[in-house]
Amino acid sequence: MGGAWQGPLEEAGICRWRLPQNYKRGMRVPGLIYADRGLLEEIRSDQAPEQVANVACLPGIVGYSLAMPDIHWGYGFPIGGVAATDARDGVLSPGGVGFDINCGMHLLGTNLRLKDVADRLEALMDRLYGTIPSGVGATGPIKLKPAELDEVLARGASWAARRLGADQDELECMEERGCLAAADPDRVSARAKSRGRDQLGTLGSGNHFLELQVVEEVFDSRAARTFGLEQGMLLIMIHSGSRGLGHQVCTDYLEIMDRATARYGITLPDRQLACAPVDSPEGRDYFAAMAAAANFGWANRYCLGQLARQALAQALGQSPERLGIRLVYDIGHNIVKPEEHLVEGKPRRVWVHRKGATRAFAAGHPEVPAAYREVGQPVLVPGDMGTSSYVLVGTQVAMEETFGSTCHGAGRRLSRAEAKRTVRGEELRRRLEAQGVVVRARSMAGLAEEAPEAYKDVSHVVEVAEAAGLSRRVARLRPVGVMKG
Amino acid sequence: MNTGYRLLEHTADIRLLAYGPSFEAMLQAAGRGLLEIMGAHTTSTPRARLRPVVLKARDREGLVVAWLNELVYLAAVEGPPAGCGVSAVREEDGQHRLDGWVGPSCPDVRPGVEVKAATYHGLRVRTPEDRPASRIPPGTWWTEVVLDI
Repeated sequence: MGGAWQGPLEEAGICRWRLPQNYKRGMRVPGLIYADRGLLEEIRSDQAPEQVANVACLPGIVGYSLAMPDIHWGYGFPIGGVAATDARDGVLSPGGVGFDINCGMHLLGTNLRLKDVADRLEALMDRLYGTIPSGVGATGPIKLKPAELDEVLARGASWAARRLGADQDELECMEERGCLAAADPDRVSARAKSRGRDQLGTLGSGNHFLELQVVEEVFDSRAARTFGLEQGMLLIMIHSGSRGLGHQVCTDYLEIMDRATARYGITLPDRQLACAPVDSPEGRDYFAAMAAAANFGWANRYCLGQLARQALAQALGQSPERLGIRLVYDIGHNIVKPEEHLVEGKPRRVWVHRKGATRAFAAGHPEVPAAYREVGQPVLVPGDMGTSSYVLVGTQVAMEETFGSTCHGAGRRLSRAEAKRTVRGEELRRRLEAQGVVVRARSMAGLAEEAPEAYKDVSHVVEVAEAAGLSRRVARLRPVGVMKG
Repeated sequence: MNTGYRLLEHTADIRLLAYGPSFEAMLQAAGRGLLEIMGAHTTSTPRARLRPVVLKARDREGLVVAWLNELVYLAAVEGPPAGCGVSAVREEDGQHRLDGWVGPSCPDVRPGVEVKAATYHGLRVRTPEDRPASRIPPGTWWTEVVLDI
């Protein structure tokens, strides 16, 4: 385990590399990695391509085992992996979603410009940091009774909007309107519920963050205008997920799937890919529980967004409405869902696993909010805290090749230990502040782990995604305030 | 020392290598490593304050994952235990059964890592008869496990 990957990759078009089906016994389809030569060198430095080959062994996988340009070594699936399995003969694999079910992004726009708050950035970040619970084991401001938690699991963001007295219309700007109807709280264990009960409205730790950002550059003025983005505009970007509840749902169902894999006679190269047929009791139960955790994730990000609005409004002494704070979009990047796609020219129902990959539906797709449908679905791609994040838009090429998927971030380049050896947290904080980025973090070691040098260049990643046709750049966002758990 | 643990490189997560003169000691070392990653100061605990843990799995690898995930769960809902141990592992009804214990929650947790779960990815459990890992004392059991963080 570990070390550089030496297997075969054949150039298969612009920024496309094919991993032949005969590379490994048991592969049912080839692999396809989207990268240029520069990214490919980094991708080969660990075992992520082997994981692409492993995913190709899943029963019922359709087309290719896909890897987005930000692919890196994960467990089971690579991070940046996408696999669609057939709705009749395919399987569901919790390893294709991961432990942080429906980890994703939430982007809020404002009518503020950086110059409006430039002299109050420190106070703004203090208010956000004081309002939003973050860090290991943090508990949130919303205490849930057991029946209320079940409602969150069943109704997702709409429960949060109702509880917080917020505008239900805004849910239109969330993937699936912030709720998968297939969720069944009874399929979620008591253990998972106990881990999630006090965590609604908490950011978490690790790579989760809240950032104040400014629109630095607009690439596609029509799409930017449609999304309500203008150069110089201040935004709030949140990265979080379903917290401990989602982690435990994955843990519980991996054990169930581990037994099911043997019972259904499925042979896999990695036990973390444990799976069951989509129409088996185990498959149905997993999806019902995963959907419930996904709903918790959407509710969590919605609550975090509401807390951020309140904090900003209080810090500036104005109402959120007057500040024009509104949801631009919310989307997960660790999820599996049934979707219909054209496969070899024919519509086909498939289960799309996205593990560190973002849905990127093209213009005209009915799942894209009506207000955005003419240009396509917004894709939110966080970078690192020192450089940039991006808003992209989905494309027809993504619909045709990747089941409507693109990258989800920069992708790690250094391990956390290497990152800490490279830079100390305090030194990093000083460097970022010298660049005009106000930093608030619970742990300096945690800050160092997330240093910009630990990540690939997000600009390079999104350029490759654009060169491959999987998404188009709409706007580049520059961080001016960073809050880490 | 023929019991202990080390952290190995992994791009996104943590790879934990633990070893000991017996399977039980190896499990205990892995548990202790996990608790320290999560910020616990592991200390000896009076016997009266220990709580029993009983787990079952279909094989040794499954038991490693179940043991570590039990500790992850306890850490998440109560805070990391100040200690843990494995008294015995035996086969029962075609399964591997672990009898162990955890201490009370650690009173002074330092900033640690939020571990989401122990994974099966690349999981290895080796007996003293198997080829030893580099820099592992000969004649020891060892396991390598990826922790999602």
